[in-house]
Amino acid sequence: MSTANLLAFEPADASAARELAAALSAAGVETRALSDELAAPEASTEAVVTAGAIIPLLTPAAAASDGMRRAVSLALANGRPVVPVLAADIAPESWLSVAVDHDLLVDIRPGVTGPAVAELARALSETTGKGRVVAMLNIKGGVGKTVLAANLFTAAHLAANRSIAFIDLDPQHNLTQYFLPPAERNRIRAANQTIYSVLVGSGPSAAEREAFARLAVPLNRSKRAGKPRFELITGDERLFEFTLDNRSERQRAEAFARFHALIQVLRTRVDAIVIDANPCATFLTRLAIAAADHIVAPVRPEKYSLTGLNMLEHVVTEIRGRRLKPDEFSVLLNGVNDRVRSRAGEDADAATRAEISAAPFFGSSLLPEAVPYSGALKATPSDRYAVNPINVTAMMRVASREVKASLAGAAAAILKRAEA
Amino acid sequence: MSARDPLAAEIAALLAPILAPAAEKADLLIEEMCARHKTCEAFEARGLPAAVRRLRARYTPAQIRAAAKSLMARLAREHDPRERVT
Repeated sequence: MSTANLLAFEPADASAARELAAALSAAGVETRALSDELAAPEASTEAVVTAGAIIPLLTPAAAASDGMRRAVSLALANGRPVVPVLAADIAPESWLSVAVDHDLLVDIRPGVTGPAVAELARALSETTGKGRVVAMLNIKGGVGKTVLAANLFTAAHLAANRSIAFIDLDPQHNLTQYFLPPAERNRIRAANQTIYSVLVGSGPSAAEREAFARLAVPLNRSKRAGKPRFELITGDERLFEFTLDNRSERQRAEAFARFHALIQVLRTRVDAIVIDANPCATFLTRLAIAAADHIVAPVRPEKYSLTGLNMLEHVVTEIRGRRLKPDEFSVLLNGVNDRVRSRAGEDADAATRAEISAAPFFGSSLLPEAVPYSGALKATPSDRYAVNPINVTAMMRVASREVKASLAGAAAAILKRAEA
Repeated sequence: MSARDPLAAEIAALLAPILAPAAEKADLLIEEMCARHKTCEAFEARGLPAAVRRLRARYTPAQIRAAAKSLMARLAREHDPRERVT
């Protein structure tokens, strides 16, 4: 991934852009110009999706530009930070004004002053972070997204000391239920500390942006758990509101901006942010796909899983505005060697692997590592008290050495691809 | 588990429903003692027998047993896994 920042502007605003670029350069922030290419989508796509950050120069000309709209949309849909600079007044109801995050906006209408340049340089520096965003997705339900997410990245934490933050972006909030008992979930929900309070921009349920850094629930609560973070941004059932299409464009844009602000906070303090998304195509799916550096699709060795995989590729292409590169995607076979489910288990595994390997897009995305079927990888609640939620995972329960090794191996492979 | 320490065995049986390594159970028991007795000073033990051995230097078996029972009562209250519908 490039770290160069792109200064996007309309040709009519070239003089203001030159002045800003010169001031940023003097402050040690290098930028590349994106102007003439705005009118040529094929020329700007690669530059936008690999940029460190996009700096759109907001002016009436930019607000009326299809090219600017496309570039900003592409950046937002591909997880690129957008730090807007207001060079001239634009209509508040314009698409550009609605789409950008006003909390990040730098105002240069009075001129390209020292404080404004310093503010912009600081905002750009805050867009960097080591953490990679991994989204667990499959349009089909029941493939093991939630339990696999919990166990894979618990394995990464325990076996490789990786710091992990989970985000439960599913209205069914099964990941939250997997880790936390009802009383604790209710307490967190009542305190407006779930992902719902991040997405809601206003009203009594909304969380202050300054509080985003304190929303995560630590899951390794033992004093002996060591330093790497292992934490969860919980979900709750009110997320279903975001699966319906009855929120205004401004409300959705605000939810988008606040979600990315949360991601930015987490990027600075963990190795991986793992999003457990809902098994369908909604606004929540859009949030997960747009934020993800890497998408992991668990697949069970059965034909309906492959249908979900094909749908997922369509959804991702639609949301991203481009086709994914194979290295942005991993397919993980889940539940292989299941001799209880089917006597022809090995045949089903081989057939599924062969089918995916032969596919033009998914072939190179299929991980050689696979997770074997295990009774320990069921979401069945325990009748014992898991006071340290990390203990509810297979790594700490009765899973066999083979399952533990598979989980650790698959997690390491995913993180290696995500960090490449 | 030490076969020579019936109190440690009794405490281990009381805390069996807790899904955690022995060192974490020891931490919980020590924290509970400190919540119940202001004179208690927190310490780290490798497991329950070691924790019980050290606690017994300052507290009676009845006090240690009471702490284990109140710990389980609190966990039952806070960590009841049952889902309820509204």
